[in-house]
Amino acid sequence: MIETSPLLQQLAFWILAAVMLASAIGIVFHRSIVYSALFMLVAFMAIAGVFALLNAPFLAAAQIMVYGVGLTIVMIFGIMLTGDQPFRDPAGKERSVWYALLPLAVVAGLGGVLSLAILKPAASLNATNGLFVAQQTADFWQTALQTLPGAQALLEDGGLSHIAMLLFSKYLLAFELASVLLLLAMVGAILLALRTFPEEEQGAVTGGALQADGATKALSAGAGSVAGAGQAAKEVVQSAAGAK
Amino acid sequence: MIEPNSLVGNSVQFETLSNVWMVAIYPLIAFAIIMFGRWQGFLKTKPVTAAIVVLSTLMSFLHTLGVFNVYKEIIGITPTIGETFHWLHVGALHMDVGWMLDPTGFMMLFVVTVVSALIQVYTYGYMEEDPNFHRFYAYLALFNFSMLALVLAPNLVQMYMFWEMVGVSSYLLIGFWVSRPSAASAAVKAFLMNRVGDFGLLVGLLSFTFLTWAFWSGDAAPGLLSFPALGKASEYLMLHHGTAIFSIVGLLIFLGPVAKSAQLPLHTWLPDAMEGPTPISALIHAATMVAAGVFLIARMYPMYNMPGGEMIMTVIAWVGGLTAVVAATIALTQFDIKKALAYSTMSQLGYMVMAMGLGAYAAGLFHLMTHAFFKAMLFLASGSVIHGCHHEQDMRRMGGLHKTMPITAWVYLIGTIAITGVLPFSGFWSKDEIVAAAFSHQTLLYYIAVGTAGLTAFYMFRTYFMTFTGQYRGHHEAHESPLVMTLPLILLAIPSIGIGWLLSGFFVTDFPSFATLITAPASFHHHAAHHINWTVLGTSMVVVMGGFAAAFAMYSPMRLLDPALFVNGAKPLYTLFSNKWYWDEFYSFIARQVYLTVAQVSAWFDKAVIDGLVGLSAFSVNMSASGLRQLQNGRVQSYLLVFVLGLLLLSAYTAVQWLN
Amino acid sequence: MLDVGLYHYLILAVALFSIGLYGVLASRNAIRVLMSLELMLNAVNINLVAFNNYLHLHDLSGQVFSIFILTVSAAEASVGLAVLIALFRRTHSADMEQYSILQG
Repeated sequence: MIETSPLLQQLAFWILAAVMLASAIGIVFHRSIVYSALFMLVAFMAIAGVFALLNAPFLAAAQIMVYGVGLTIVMIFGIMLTGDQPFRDPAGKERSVWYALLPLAVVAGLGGVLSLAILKPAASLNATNGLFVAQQTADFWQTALQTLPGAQALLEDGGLSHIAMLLFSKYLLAFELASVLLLLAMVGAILLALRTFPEEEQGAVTGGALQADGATKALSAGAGSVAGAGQAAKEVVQSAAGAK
Repeated sequence: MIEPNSLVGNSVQFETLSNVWMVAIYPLIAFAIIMFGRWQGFLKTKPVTAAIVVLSTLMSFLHTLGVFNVYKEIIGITPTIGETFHWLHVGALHMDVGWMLDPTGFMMLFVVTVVSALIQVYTYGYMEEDPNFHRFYAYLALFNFSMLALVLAPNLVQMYMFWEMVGVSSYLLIGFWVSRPSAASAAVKAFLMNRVGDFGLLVGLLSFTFLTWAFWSGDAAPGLLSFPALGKASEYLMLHHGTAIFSIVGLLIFLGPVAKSAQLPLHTWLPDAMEGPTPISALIHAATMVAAGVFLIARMYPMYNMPGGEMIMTVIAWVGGLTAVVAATIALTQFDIKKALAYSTMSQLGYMVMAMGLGAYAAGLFHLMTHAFFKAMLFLASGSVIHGCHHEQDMRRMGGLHKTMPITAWVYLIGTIAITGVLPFSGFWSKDEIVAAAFSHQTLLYYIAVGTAGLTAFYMFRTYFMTFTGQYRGHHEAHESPLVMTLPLILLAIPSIGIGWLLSGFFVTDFPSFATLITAPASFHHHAAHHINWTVLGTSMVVVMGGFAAAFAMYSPMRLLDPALFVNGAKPLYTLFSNKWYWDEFYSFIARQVYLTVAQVSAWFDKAVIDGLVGLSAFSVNMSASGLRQLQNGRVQSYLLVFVLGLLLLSAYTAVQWLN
Repeated sequence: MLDVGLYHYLILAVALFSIGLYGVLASRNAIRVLMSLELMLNAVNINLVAFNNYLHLHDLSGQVFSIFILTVSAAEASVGLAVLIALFRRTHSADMEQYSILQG
């Protein structure tokens, strides 16, 4: 935060980082999936704290609301719907140890390469420009507040109005597309999660109508089964003829 | 080769000589009519089919006669007439098709057409009951076409094509009775044995072409392998490649006649070919097709009979001589009348080939002609016997047929006398010339020729006595054949008696003799025995009479001597002869032991090594596939892992590039 | 050492991303995979916001991007859960091992 002291900021960062990584590890490695969900809540909260440290109070709030509350609850619902024994991993054939080791190696390699790519230029830049590594100083903010609109917006209302302006001007198209995406996701999720699809049910109804044994029932089944009605009527006539 | 145009100057009708190729086409038309008619189902009358074929052969004969009438006016100026058309241009080479005739060709045309026509008439009686009557006649016409086209061929390429065509016709006709396994296997055997010889012929022709490539190249060069240019080409071959190569090429080409004329060692198909209907044995396997080998040697004379070709000529002469004597010895022991005649044919062909090898060009071809007549007659007579005895071929169940089949018996007797070479009959004139040629060139071959003449007299009279004299030993009532069969026999008897002295030049002086008509191209040996060598004549007559006497003593009704005495007295020889010198066993041994061993070794090699390699590649594909299949395990996480691995490699690469 | 700058946040994000990635790759429970996915998205969010704060303060585009990612991840989570429920109905299990019907 602009106002807070650097020391407090540093302390907050390290604590948040530790909590975040620990709970992330808990998500991945804890035996119980329910505990994992709870660890996820903690991790999201810590991430929200990091956002707050990075001068993004609106994002921090959104993080708590969307991820910390919404997504965690969705996940717990998912656990409830799928896990017949939610406090244990699914039982089954034991996986080979390679299923753990190979991903570990690949992930470690990728993380190493990314860290290297970050740290190597950082070490060389450190000497010339403190901006990239050092805490943003008061001097920095003095200049920033005079020259940078983003910084000014942060000072006014945590950047809320600025973000709103961006969303509805510069990123309007992306915003609208995101709304469409959400709508589609909702429709898709409903469709996927439905036990039976609507057309299947409709087909079942029509089939029932065709199986009706009397002309009256076929007629009353609706306009969609005129042919069926004719068929049934014919059958009635034939059965009458057979009776004679 | 002269152009037809130049003949016009000699007041010769151009049309007569420009359509000579039609001689071969008439039978082809007959063949097409029969096949098309049968296919369309309207040609159902047997006399009509027979008439079409006989008519086509008669057309060929009459056309030949017409051409000959024109030709004999100009024979002194241009002994070789012909006409060619460009067929193919292959690089600098060009191949021609067309026709060519010289006295030899005319002789062959006359023999083929006359004998064919008579046999086709005879066939009507012999094959009347056969359900495949029409097919038989169609094949006869096809054979006729092939044979006439072979004779008319102006170059070795065309000759080779029709050489194969007559082989195919022969195959079809030997195996005509397709339902008989023995006929089918005999047909296959004939085809395969001929394949060996034809392969040699083909390799010979190809190597000849290859070695004399420069000779045939260019616009002004003669058509590839054309007969008139063969002498020059052979000189070129000799000049550039030496005697050894020349001899090898010549002998490779000679392999063709060896198989086609049933010479040692490729002769075993001919006796088996007697499985075919008897008219076929008479036409193809006695009179015409087997003589094509001799004809090819005659056509190759510019090559064989030149300085440096002595080695080839010697081989030819010895092959012929050995075939003559070996076949004659086998014929001594045969009881099947057709087999005996088949070995006789082989023996006589040996005479012809020997004559060609000795340089007695005219004598060899003269014997070819006389043999064609009397051997065709003998076969037809044997066919008449078989027909009359209800398809009985074993002479031990014949005998005394002179009473029931007088015409056949008389005709057979004439043929027998003709083949043994008794003085006025045709066989005498031709055979005597061959024996005389052997006498003046190669003493050992002379003895072989004379000895074979004695053997011939013995086995031929043996067949005659066993078949026509004594008591009938068969079960069915024998009967004389109908006129349609006996008439060709009688007609064939006329040249068998008369053609020899007519063409010998001794008695009928206003007609040109055979030896003056037929002269070898580029003759080297200059054999001109236009007088009778009384020593040779006397010796051979004595030997022939000895053979006749032996046959008379053993097989005539008087039975002065028991044949078993000789059979038991010379048991090893008899066994050797009656088992045909074990040639078939020898080939079986080669096929079963040698070839089969090689085949098994290569089969093992195929299974173990080739299949092993194939299996190894399949195994490796299988292994790598099942290895790769582990990636396709359907687990999203595995796919994702691979994806991330790729990402890692890409980012690592980029990082290394960027950081350095 | 205790000075906190841009790189600290970036390294933190890398750590969080790696843990999330490992969870996605190695977890047997499908729900846990979805949770790990959310961790990865949040790591990206941290990056965006940190860059915005340290390098690009003349507007707040980084935060706007984070909001979009938030939206997308919410959609992703809902659809992912719906797929999971459909799969569960088919296999009666949340075990990733059971979801190998892609296998040819």
